[in-house]
Amino acid sequence: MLPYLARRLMLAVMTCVFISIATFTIIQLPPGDYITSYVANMAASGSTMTNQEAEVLRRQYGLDEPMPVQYLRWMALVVQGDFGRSMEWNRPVYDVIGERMLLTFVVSAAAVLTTWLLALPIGIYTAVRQHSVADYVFTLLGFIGLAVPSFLIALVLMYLGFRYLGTSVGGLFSPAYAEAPWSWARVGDLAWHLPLPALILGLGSTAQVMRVMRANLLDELRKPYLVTALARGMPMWRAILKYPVRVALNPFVSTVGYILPYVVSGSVIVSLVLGLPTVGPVLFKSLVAQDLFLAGTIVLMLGVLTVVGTFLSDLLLIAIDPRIRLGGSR
Amino acid sequence: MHGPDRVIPAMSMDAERPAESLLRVKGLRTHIDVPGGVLRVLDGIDIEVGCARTVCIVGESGCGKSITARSILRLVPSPLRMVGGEILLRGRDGVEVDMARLDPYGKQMRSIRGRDIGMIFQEPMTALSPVHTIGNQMAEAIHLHEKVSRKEARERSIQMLHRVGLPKPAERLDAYSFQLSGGMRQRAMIAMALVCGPPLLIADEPTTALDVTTQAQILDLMRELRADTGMSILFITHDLGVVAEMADEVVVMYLGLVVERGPVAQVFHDPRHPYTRALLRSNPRHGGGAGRRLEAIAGGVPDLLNRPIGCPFHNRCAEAIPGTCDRLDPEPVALGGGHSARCWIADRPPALAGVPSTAPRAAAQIIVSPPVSATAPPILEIDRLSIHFAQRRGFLRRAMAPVRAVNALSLAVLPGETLGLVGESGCGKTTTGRCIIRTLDPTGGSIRFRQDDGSMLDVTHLPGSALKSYRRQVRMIFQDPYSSLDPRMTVADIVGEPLKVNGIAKGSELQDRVAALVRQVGLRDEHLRRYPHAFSGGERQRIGIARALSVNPKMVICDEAVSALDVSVQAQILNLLRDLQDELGLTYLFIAHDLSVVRHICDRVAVMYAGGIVELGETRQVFEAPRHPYTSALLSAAPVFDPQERAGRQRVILAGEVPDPAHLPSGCPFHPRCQHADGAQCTNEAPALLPRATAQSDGMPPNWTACHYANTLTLPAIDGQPPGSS
Amino acid sequence: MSDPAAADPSLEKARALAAAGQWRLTWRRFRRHRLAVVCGVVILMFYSVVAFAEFFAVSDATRPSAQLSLIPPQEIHWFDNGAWSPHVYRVVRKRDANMQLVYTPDPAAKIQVSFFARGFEWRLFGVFPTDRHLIGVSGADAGKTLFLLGTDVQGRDLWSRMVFATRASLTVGLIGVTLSLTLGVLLGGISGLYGGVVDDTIQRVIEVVRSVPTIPLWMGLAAAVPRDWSVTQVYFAITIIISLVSWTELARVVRGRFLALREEDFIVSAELDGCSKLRIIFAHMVPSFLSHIIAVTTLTLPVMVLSETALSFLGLGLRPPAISWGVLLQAAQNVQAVAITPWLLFPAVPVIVAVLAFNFFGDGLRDAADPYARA
Repeated sequence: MLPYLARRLMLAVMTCVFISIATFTIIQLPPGDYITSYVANMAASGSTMTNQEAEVLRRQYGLDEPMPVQYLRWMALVVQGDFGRSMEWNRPVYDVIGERMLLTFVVSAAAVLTTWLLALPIGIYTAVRQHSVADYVFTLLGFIGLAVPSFLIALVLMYLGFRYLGTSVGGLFSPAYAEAPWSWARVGDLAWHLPLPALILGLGSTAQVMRVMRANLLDELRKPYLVTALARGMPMWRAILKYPVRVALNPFVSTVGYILPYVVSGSVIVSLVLGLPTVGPVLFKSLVAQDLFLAGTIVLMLGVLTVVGTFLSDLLLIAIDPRIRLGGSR
Repeated sequence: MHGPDRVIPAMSMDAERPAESLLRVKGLRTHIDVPGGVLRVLDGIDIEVGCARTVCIVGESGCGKSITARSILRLVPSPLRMVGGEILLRGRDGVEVDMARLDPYGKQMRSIRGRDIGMIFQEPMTALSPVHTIGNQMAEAIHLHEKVSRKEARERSIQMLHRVGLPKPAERLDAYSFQLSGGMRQRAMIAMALVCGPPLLIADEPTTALDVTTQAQILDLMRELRADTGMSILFITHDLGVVAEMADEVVVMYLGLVVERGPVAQVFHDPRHPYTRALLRSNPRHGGGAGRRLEAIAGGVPDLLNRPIGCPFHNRCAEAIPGTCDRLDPEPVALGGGHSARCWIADRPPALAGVPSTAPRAAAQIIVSPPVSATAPPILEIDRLSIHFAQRRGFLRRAMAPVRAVNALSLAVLPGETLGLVGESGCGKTTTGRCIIRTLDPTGGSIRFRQDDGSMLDVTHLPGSALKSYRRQVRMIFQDPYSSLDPRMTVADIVGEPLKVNGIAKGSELQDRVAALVRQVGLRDEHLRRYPHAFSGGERQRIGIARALSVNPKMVICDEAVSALDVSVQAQILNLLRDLQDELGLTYLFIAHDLSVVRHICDRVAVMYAGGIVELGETRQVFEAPRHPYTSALLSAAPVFDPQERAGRQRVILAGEVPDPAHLPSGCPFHPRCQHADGAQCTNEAPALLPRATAQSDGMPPNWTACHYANTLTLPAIDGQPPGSS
Repeated sequence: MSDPAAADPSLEKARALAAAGQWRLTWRRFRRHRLAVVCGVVILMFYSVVAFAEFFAVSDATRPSAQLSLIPPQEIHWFDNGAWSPHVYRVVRKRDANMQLVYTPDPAAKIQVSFFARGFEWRLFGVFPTDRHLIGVSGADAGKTLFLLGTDVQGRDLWSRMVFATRASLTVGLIGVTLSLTLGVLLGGISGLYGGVVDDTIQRVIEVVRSVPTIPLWMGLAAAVPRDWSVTQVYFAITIIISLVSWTELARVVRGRFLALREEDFIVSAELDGCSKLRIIFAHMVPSFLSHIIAVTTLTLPVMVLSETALSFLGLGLRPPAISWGVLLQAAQNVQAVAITPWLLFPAVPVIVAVLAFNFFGDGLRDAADPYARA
């Protein structure tokens, strides 16, 4: 067991390093750098900057050095817990995204929870009652859920809300609390605003999780161990929940870890539409403006979150599935 | 373990017929709706199970045996549905309940399952939850029906596991099903079914997935438990040997109908339905020794969609009366003593008898197999062949000890003979076959094949092109007729493929040769354009044989070529293989686990155990005078075919199971299970395979045996000939 | 086995079925999925729009006109006094009290609508010049306009723009799928066929690619596409970016199939029959998973379409003057604007319909793909 874990851990670390390099490279890909776009922006707004001034700025941010040097310098900082400075915001990266990260996490967790609370029971029900009317209805809904991208749902809901309720349904806070320091009232306000974005974000993966659950369970329902349990005198639903559902849930446990970062990255577009104060809009802007350290940090964090999540969910799977824990069958 | 002496002698059963029956099934009908009609999967089944009796339901696949069991428990899987009939169960209070009227998932039905009727299944691996411990599932069974503390439930579970002969029951209680071996799992399954002491046990093919020595253990256990508890058993099987071993009464099913029923001795010795007779006679065990042609039933079990009008069996029946059998469905005819048959000629004494028939059979064609010349040089020589696999197992890919599938195996195959390679699962017989054909590479040793010019070709190190020409001379027939044919090619393409890719024939010549081949294996020209999906298992196996023979091979490796087939179809294929051998002078290496098939078709037999040959000799010699304790145990574990014989015979029951090929025992690999092991030489020194003459070998060449004590041991054999034919 | 009565229709049918090859069996099974068949027709219709976009368009989709900004959809009236006479009302442009532009239909001024009308000139297959269109207004009088779905801010006909957008959006999917299919089948095949170190390496690469969060990766790459690239350059760049991730899934499927097939008896027996490695792969293995690959591919297409739409919607994908569904939806980003001009949300409809159709079609295809599955 231990050598295996060590191997997995090493792989995870290597993947993280690779992701950080990839991130850095991608951000640097466009011709020019932050200063170039900064100068262009200044020119657009009427002011000018001399080449000397630009060079000074470049030196100040270390942008004049070759990329590997910039990368290593950044990594050295990251390892110490310092993610560098955002050029666009002119503040430490941490200050820019600290609270946004937390909110992103809250929204995503709520979305994942919504997904599971909706998808798993529906998946179980439609599998057990295969070919029933409810099965067809939910399968159809599931397909529609798959087909409609969540940013479109967000857009339509926003439109409907604006049209019929006359209010903006976006955001995570009422205007009064948007910039306020944390308080219980602010948490309450957040809880009040949370369901809608959570639902919109959750719906997309609900269809998928539902279909996977249904397919998994249909496979398990055909296994003889269910008949054995019924032949012992188990009531139908109790037997289904104890045996096939338990086995069919295992694959989901293995997704627990990485579904969260997945939702986080998927939320970027929805956050833009709904105007949520999460990392999504910041990431978008920083990528467009080539705000190197800000964008780099966000992408890196998402990547690392995925890797760590996958690692943790593998551990979880080992813990709950005796077939894997005890060395597998032939 | 107890012998079978407690079994009530079958012949006396009329006198002892219990006054009351435990279960009476009347007119049970289960149907399935299909587009454009209804399939009658069960079309009026009557079964009666008396107290403390064993009733066997026997039939080929698709006849509705398992559905009967599931219908009785009211657990038919959708879209099947039970549409009529009565299922009367005598409860513990003596009152009969009609289970057919109960809500299948209601409280009363649930309290019957597990408490009044226990059930065990064919595949103990999948019939037990993979993520719950044995103890968890057993305790659940107890708690469902009785109010007991957890501690008490646990203690009772341990007792029950102990009762079914599971070693270290307290530890095994916390094990998962995949941690147990096949035999252990089936024991645990039985313990689970019996933990509430049900008066009736329904066993659905409980030993079909097990090796023959394990099957013998489980059958013994079930007999023992029945004698101890006085429970009744409804035993479902396709194996007539198991029926002969277990049954008090037999119910023969065909296409959802009971075609014959009665006390086991009567059904076996005086079968009145042509299907029962044919089933008995097509069994290779029936014929006993090699050389006789089996009497196969024509065709295969029809699809329920094409159920024949009139008597469902008439289109395969040799005795069908035109105008009657193909029009009218017969009613069961009572023949006295609880014996009845659903046939228009049931009350006529049959022209062909059942098992013991003293008259020489007119229809039984005696085929003299070509004498295998002992002096002819072998066509294939295997010398100290070893095949080991490095392995990483499970999700964690942990490196394990290498699997030593085959160890220093030496064998010579003589031209024109059929050499049987027999052993239980995991003994390395299939691996050996695959290595001869070089889809596996040997770890050590050599395989050499005699060319036309008499020179020996070293197969172990053949390069690509030479391997290709070698594979034209040595062909293979696979076990699974479904997966061994490319479903996307027509029969003509499949059979012609070897001719085409080897550049032997093309164009019209190719077509002619393929057509001739197809006719040779008993198919028709019109089949050429069809795809495999249009054929039954037996027909597919014929296609596989035609493909193997297309390039005029000298030798054919038959890897369990008939073990996936129903017994009536199996007889057809065995006859075909024999005919082709006579016609073409083929050499067969016949790999099989079924002793009766091997005994029927092979000239010589090599018995394998743990990757090596333990005994080798003339088929008759090996079966009648085994010199190795394992051979003897293996032979005695095989079910007898005559219900009358089961009481008197001597049995060697092997303890334990086949060793894990990754951790073979030292010395003689059989010593931990051998009752003759001396604890010194057997433990330390692996015996060589040597010719060991015996007193009985009347003129025949001696068996080669890998046992230190082969010359001194007296071992029981199964008797030479089946009753009546000697 | 015996078939005496050749005249029996059911036997005739059984015999035809017995001689039916893989594709016919697949087709038979597929036909049973009514919904999938319908969706197949819908997809065909979409691609005929792709092929003949100019024919379906009413007017040139690129020419802006400040005079015609944000006109609401004009409703077609099919009958005039009970007689068949499709027409629309002329729109009158006014400023209201708040100096806001408002358009009101004038029932008195009827504009006749006709099918196969003459309009702007285009070339069929890029060769044959013609000026026929599916629908149009008689005469090219400047006052007579037909805006089935209204106009955008710059006064361009939304219907025609959506027709041209279909071309870009649905071909990005096709090209992207081709790319990822090539990559996936090649690498998956190599991985499954050779195993060992090659397999391990490819598996690691796939693992890493999959662990990079998709959307930020796309955004990063898309943002990296230089601003000064031409429409065509951007189009291909975006296609490549989208297919960068989806090939991993295909590679996984192909590898799995290869590994499973290698153990199948009929593959082993093909080897024993003397088939060369190439023949085993192309005559035995590929046909047995080709249908499956086609089904998986069909299911990948909608993902591609959605990805393009999302990226363009953000302004990171295709850029004006290119037209795609995502580009059109960009105009609907602002809720306040949409509230006044809800027709700008129309481009969401073809996105949803196309993706749904692809999903149902692919699902039906996947179910029918293996007609030999033993249930």
